Amino acid sequence: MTLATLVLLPLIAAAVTFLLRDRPLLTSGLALGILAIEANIMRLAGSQARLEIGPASLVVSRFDTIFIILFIAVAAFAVAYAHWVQQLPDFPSRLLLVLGCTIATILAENPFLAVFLLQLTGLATLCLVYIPQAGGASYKTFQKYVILVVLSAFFLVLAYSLFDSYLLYRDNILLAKLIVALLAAGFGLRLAMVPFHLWLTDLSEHLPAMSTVIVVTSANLAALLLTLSMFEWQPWLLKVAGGDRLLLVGSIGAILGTAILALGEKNLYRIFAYGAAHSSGFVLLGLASGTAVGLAGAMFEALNQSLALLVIFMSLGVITHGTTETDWEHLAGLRFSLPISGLGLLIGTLSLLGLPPLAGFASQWMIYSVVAQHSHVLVVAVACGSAVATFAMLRTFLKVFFGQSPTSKAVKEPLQPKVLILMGSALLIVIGLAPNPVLDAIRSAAAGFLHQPWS
Amino acid sequence: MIVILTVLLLFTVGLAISTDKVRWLILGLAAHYLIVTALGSKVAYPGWLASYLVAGLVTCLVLFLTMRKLAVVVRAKRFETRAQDEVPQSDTSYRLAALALAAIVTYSLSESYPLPDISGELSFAIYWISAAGLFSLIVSRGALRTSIGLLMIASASQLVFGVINVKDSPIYYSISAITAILVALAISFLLAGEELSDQVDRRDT
Repeated sequence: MTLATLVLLPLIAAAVTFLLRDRPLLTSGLALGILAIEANIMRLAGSQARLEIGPASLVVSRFDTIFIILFIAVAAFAVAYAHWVQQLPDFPSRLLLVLGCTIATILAENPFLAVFLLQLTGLATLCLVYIPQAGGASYKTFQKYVILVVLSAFFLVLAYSLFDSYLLYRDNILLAKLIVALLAAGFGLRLAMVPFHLWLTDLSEHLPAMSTVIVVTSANLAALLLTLSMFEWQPWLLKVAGGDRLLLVGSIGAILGTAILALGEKNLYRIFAYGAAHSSGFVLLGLASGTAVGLAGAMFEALNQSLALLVIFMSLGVITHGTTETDWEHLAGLRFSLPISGLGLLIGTLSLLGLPPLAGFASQWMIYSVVAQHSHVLVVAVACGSAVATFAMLRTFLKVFFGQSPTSKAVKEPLQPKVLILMGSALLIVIGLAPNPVLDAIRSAAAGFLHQPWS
Repeated sequence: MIVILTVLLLFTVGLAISTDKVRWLILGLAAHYLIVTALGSKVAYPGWLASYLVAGLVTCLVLFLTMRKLAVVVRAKRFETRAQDEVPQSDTSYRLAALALAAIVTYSLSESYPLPDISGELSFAIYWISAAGLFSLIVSRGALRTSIGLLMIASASQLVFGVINVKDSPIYYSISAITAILVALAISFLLAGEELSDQVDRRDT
């Protein structure tokens, strides 16, 4: 019953808040209340809680608890922010709809059911992507996202359908490699791995800030947890079919590729969208290691990515709302008019890049340590990618806030978003300075997964 | 009978992705759902067959109503012309040649790398529908043909689920059908969005 409430409550609340959409204060308050209830239910549900619906079942694992609470926290920030900085109309009801679908996807025990629910979540997320009055580029973004959702579901359904066949014909290595390739394509699309990353950058450019954060957080968390459960369900994928090598190549490609592509970007949102894809590369690198430390590092990095993106995009939202400019070359000297947004952007960026003393440092340090045990060349390659990404993002920050020729237009920084940005930044600093409580929770969750180290 | 159904599938899918006429396009799409249901009837559970067919026909209905509404908003003649423009070469012989080549490649793939544990004709059907959908996605320039490509790929997903890893559960059927219908609704938004973006562009120029 608890799990049914966890899934159904946000869906019902989405309908209610939609009906009350003419009262923004009420809908925002209701949405925040629902999110608080959800977090409490999640806390009380406990690990291994179970709900059987015929052959389908929902079950809570420790990773599920951590990431659902994370998503709820991000959603709460987004709802509060959207009340003060204009996002999509009916944003709380759209967000609650996506939340309900995402929770159902994460809790689904059967991989088939999870894949279909992942597709359903992707389609539900379209309500955050579609802006009918924007036309033009927004329609193209919507089209790309629909294609991504349908194509990734097709690859994953085909891969999962072939699993049982492989178990019957274990000498068919070609079949195993086909399954791995299909999984790589399916998850690569959802996680915006290079070369499947274009939807993410276009999305970030054309959508309001909080829509991008929710879409990325929802897609990444659900797809990541599904990837993890798939490796637990079929561990031979990592060894027999070269899944670990494919993950390794994909992650290095993502880290290097996104860093280089970010160098040439002019749009503020697109640069930091590349930062998100860069961080996803680290997550996959941690998974590819096949060790408990790497897995814990990957999960911690996913957590860091969600929080850092939230702070970054909240700051960008204030900047672009105030200046009505998204090209960073046209902005300069905003440190006096938007100090808190600048601080939030800096802290979020440094955390995303894994610099101390922020949350990202602990996660990326763990991943670096695992990589270093096996290949120093890989460490150098990853470090080079990080260095390029650091240059691209910090260059943007310095130009926007410390550049010459201050922007002549007077820009005001609203109070309430400032408070949210400061809260988010403080969270990143606290987790960075005292990562152990979060790490302990992640480590105990990671201990349940069986992995083999690299050969 | 199986051979006839397979040939009909070849024809109806080809019709759906190559024709300029919207009515024939939707008819081809609807016919392909019927033929796939017939082909899968020996392997799949009745529940899956019913959910697949119902979702497919609802998809066609959604598409038809959307196109009719847009044809009322936009002059029908311009809408038919757009369908023509969305294929790089309007020449019928080019399209038929491309389709024939795709059919030969699909047949070779299904013979050389048949999908495990299913019959040859179902393997061919999955390959053909997937190939047609990907072909339409890659070569199309507009929402209409992209939509047909997406619907073909969604159909292939459902077919894979129904005949390769067979599960008899109303929950799986209903979620599978709901996602197919949601894809159709998303496509109707896509078509409306393309028209809106065209209007914005025309206003700006």
